[in-house]
Amino acid sequence: MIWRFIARRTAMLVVTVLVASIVIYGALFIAPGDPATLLVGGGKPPSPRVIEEIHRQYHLDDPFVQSYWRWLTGMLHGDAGQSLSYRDSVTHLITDRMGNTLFLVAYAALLIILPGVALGTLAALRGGLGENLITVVTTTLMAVPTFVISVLLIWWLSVRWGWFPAYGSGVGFAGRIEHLTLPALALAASWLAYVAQVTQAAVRAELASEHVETARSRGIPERFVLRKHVLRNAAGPIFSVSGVAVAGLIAGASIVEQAFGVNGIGALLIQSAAKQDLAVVQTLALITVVVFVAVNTLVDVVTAALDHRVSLEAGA
Amino acid sequence: MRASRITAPGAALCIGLLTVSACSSGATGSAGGASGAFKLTTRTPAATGSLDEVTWNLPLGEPTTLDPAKVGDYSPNTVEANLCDPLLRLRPDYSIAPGLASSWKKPDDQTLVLELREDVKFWNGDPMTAKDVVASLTRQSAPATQAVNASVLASVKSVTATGDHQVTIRFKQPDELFLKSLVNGFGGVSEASYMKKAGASYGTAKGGLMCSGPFKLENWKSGDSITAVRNDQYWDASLRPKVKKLTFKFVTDSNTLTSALLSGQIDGSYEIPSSVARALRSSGAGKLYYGPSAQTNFIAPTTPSSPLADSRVAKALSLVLDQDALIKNVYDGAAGKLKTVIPPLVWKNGEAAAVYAQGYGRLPATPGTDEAKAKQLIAQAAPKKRSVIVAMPAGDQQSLQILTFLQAAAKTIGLDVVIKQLQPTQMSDVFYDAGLRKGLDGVIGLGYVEVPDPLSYVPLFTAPDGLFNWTGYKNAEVTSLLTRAQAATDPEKSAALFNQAQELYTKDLAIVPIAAPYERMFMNKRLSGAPSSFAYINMPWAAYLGGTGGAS
Repeated sequence: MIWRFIARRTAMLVVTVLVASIVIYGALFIAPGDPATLLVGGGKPPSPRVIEEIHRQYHLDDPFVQSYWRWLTGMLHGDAGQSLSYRDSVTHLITDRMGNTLFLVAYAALLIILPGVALGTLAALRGGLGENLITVVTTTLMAVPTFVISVLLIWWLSVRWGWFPAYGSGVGFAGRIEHLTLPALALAASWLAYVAQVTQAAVRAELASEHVETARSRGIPERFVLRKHVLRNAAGPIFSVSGVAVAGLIAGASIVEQAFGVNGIGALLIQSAAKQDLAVVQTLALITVVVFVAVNTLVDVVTAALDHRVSLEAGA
Repeated sequence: MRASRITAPGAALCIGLLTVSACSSGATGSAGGASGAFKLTTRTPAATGSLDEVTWNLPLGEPTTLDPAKVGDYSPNTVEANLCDPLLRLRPDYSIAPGLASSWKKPDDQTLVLELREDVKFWNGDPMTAKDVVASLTRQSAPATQAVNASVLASVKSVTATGDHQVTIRFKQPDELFLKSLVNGFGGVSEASYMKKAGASYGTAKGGLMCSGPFKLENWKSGDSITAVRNDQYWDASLRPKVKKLTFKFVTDSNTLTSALLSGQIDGSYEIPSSVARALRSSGAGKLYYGPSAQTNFIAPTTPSSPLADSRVAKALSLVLDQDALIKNVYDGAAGKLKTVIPPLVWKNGEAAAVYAQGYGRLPATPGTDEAKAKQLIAQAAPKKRSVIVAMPAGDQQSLQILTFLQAAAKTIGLDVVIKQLQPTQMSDVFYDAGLRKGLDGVIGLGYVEVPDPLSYVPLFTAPDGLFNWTGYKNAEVTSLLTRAQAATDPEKSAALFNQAQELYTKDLAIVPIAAPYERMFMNKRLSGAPSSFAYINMPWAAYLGGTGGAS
């Protein structure tokens, strides 16, 4: 059953990607502006000729179908094309930056899930002032836009106190931890509340459920009840929201990477979109779609495995 | 009309990618005075010590190329000028000095002979010869090179090596501008054999460079940084760099740039935007320098039918635009008033400076605001359309502020200014696509003059086929005077002819001058030496850079 489910999901993914690729390619194709003019970078008299030359070299004058077909066949042969603005292969541009983005997203996911689950559980168990405090703080963080948090973090932790570098990606593990802590915090802040709130609700629901009541009435130690009956059963929704959070991080990384000067694929996406660098935007958008769908599929599968009441058939 | 620029594309670039008003810095030998509170310097105190590493920022983003034939914008020029020596050098005061060509002579009006230095070696140790110079110059006429200065070669008949270290250029007609155009990327010399091998990838992260400059290109990590290391064998012993390793970063966001400069993570930057300048001015992290510049901000009409294409309407708008308030509020005081399209720095220290100065003096001073006169001009012009659509690069705070000022001023004379923000690719397309310009009435531009000669710039606006002449401006006398000025081999005669043309077009050319921004440059307190004049854009400025401590 699980294999059928995965096969169906994969087929859906292929269709989604194909449709998304046509939509994105089409949108950029009809967007006004000529990317070649940015390359010339100056209004010098011979420019119209130079522009013709760039158009010829990058096939900018081809009709949509021909141009899309060229891109698609290239892609199927593993060639994502050439970037117009970087004058480099798209594959090279992306592989160069992938590491930074993966590190950032993983780091931020860690910063969301661990404290989120801990705080949510604590709030549900303790109640009272602690619960209110946790709710207020996490909700406030959720309400502040990511770019505002970025500016505040840089201002205090970097400029005023000099604890962390203000921008850049760093090299090696230690360098990355040093450089990516602030971006990861900024990225994590807005998602922390979701995980904390869902955890709290799930734990609270389990606490009030019959099987927990029964366990308690049987005199099973509280510690054991909590681990075996409460957290285990609350894991489903927590895992789901964490999955959504991680998928959201991938999209949110663009803003943070741009603000902190992290050389990742999110920043590359923003810069390339501004320059209408079709080949780069297209590939990155597709990667985002694939990762999004893959993460969601994974979440569904794991949720079903955690809770046998959830059917994969229904989820599909 | 060669080799200079106006860059609205530059302006567009600044913005789109960056959302910063990075285009704004600048300098100017301002017209009209009003240098006000700031002391303009062309140089900074000489460096006294050496430094292992310096990190410099390019606020307009990552260059797309470093090929001398293709550099034509802030970021690529800022880097390339330290890597590739041109045949002639530009000094911080915009005067010209020998470079790879140690001397030159003009046996007749249509011949130029360049004598090359014999002690120049490329980074790989190969000696530079006339062959390399000929290859570097002539490749720029091939369309495949995509050279930005190809039009400089329009008057050239042939470029030939007439000795191991001598190059002779023959012209179809006399051209006094050619020699001066050798100061920028156009005159940059690369090794012929290396260029041939690299082909189209020459000057990119992949293809690299082979020049003879004070710094060698070591590494270009796309999206992250460009690293250059000093050339210990540099032929000009007086300019051997004091900085061992120079890293360029591409921070375009104003907030990030401010933090990075304040925290010392980045050591310095040219073209500091106004918002960043406000934060840096009072900081102890380093010093903000103001220098003269050849940049100008203006609004140009985009079609012959635009209300702005009537010079009376353009003049009326400048009469109601309060330039003092604008300079104070938008440029943070770092700009001068603009009297004509060519700022004085361009000619101020050249051969015929006295003649140019006379002509400049004869121009009417920047008028103060005069609403009555403006209304009178509008009544005379009686434009059919009362609403004016002006395009600007989306997200550029400085342009937005300028246009908001203009909007308020225009209202007093019954004109309705509509601000239209364009995305980067569209903004740069305005300069090439007449169809796109039809939907607009005007565009805000930031231009700069790279070559120390007004003739490199003015014809772009006045010549019937000028790249920025979108209104069909036609003044036969101006065109004839400018053509004769370019053909005049005597500098003073050329300047006198230019002056006559300037007097004419300053009167009837429809353009709304905004201001002449000063160059703004920041250096961390551990550094000194870099020139603070806009001339940096074509100078090996980093070779002057060093520590403020003792020699080490």
